[in-house]
Amino acid sequence: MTNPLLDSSTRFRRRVTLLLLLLGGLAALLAWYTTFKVARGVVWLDFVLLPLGIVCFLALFLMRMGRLSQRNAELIPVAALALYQLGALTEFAFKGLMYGQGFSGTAMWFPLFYPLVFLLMPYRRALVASSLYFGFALLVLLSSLPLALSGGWIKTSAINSVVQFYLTNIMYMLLYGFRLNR
Amino acid sequence: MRQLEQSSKEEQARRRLTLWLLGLTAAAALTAWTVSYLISGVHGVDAYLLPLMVLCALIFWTLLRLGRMSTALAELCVVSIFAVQQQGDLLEFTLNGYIYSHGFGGTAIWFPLFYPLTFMLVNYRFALRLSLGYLALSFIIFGISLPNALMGGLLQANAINPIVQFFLANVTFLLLMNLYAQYRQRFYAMRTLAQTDSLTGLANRRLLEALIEDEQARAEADGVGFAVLMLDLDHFKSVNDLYGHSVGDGVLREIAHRLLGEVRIQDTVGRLGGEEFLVLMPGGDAIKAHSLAEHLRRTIETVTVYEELLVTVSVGVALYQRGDSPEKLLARADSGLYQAKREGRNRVAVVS
Repeated sequence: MTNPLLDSSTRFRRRVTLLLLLLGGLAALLAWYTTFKVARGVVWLDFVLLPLGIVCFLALFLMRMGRLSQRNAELIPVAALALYQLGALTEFAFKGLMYGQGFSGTAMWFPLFYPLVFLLMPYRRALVASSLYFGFALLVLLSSLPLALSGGWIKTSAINSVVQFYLTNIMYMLLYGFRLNR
Repeated sequence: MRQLEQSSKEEQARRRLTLWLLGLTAAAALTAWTVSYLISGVHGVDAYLLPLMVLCALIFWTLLRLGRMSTALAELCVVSIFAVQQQGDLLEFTLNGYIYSHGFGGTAIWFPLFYPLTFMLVNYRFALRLSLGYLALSFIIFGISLPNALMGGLLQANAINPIVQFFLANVTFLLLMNLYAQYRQRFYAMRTLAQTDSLTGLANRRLLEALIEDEQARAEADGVGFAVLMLDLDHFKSVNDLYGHSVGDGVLREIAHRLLGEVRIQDTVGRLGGEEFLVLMPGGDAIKAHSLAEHLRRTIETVTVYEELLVTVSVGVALYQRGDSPEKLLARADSGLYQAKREGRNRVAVVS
């Protein structure tokens, strides 16, 4: 027996997953293109952007072909997103860019992890995953801060962006973890 | 009533969280203002809106803390100020060309926070409209200034990526939030279906058992007992046989309606199945439980149900005893019910 409520929900979820995969892939490819072709930046992590885009599209393709479950098609890009974001943050912090330039607009992808995990995982697991994600980001800050202080990397203009970044992440965690799930 | 108590707990949790959010908002705005002031002075929209945000967040925090303001109103005010500040910043930075030369800065991370805040605050459809309006406004603001930026050669290559990422990320956040909200709606709809008796709209057996377990845990912790009243309509089979099942269903609905109107606000009425109903009575001792059971029996006996039909009810009352399982408690209520039936029906039997 089918449940029309569940069926429509699954169909809707599938449609949105496909769209999100497409957007994620597009964003990654565009970032890669602008970094290498337009801005001509050379950062090792940018090499990860293209694989991230490919992972998104591959997951999309496999899902369309019915070779990958909906759940895996959703979780693989989320894991790729988390790895990329945390990797980029680590590199950004330990190279001193975070303290010298502050975050750019692309940092707004960072908190996307929270709605994604709370959407895809059971509540408790999502809470653990998002705590680990934010905990790692906090660890990056705390471990790179002494280096930044001793190396004189910190510029006043970057402080605001760093503070805003961490405060926003707390807001997202609180909202998704304790408000929207209640 | 249990739902009232539950919603009161939720309201308290919501209030605590809003206090946190207000504190964080004030901290964020204060940091932004202080740092800007130290670097080159605060200009444009931020010169007015950041101090206003700090002030409002602190005032709302105080009023909420003192219980002089509702949580919903505090949230609404913060979201409104937040939206004005974000769109104001966007307008200023696009009109002065900053975005086209530098792209979006790290503070753009706040922009999509509007979506979860709005969906948290208002109903799904309204939140979706507001969010779409918010996103559309940002596109309009950007679109207005883009021709000038292109003609004036303001657009720098290194700004393209942050600009595109900004809009892509916003669309993604909104899509996700929309999906999230739809899931919540479906979840509540399914939960209601799973816990409600479709004929009477009362709590079904599944929900009743869960509520008894909750009450049992509370009784173990607080030492305050509770009672269950099991009601069974007398000779209900003959109602079905004589008048048909549609009349029988009507009688069950009418009885459900009557019971709901007569119990205390903290009690829960449910249908166990067939013509059996259950009233869960938190804090109920033998006297209170017997008194309510007798009141319900008399009410049903004296009122004409479904046009001209008179029905009576037998009631078995069981009081919670330490160490009782829900099954054991229900079995005692059941034995009380059959005692009432044996003794001639239309009566109450209490089993301690």
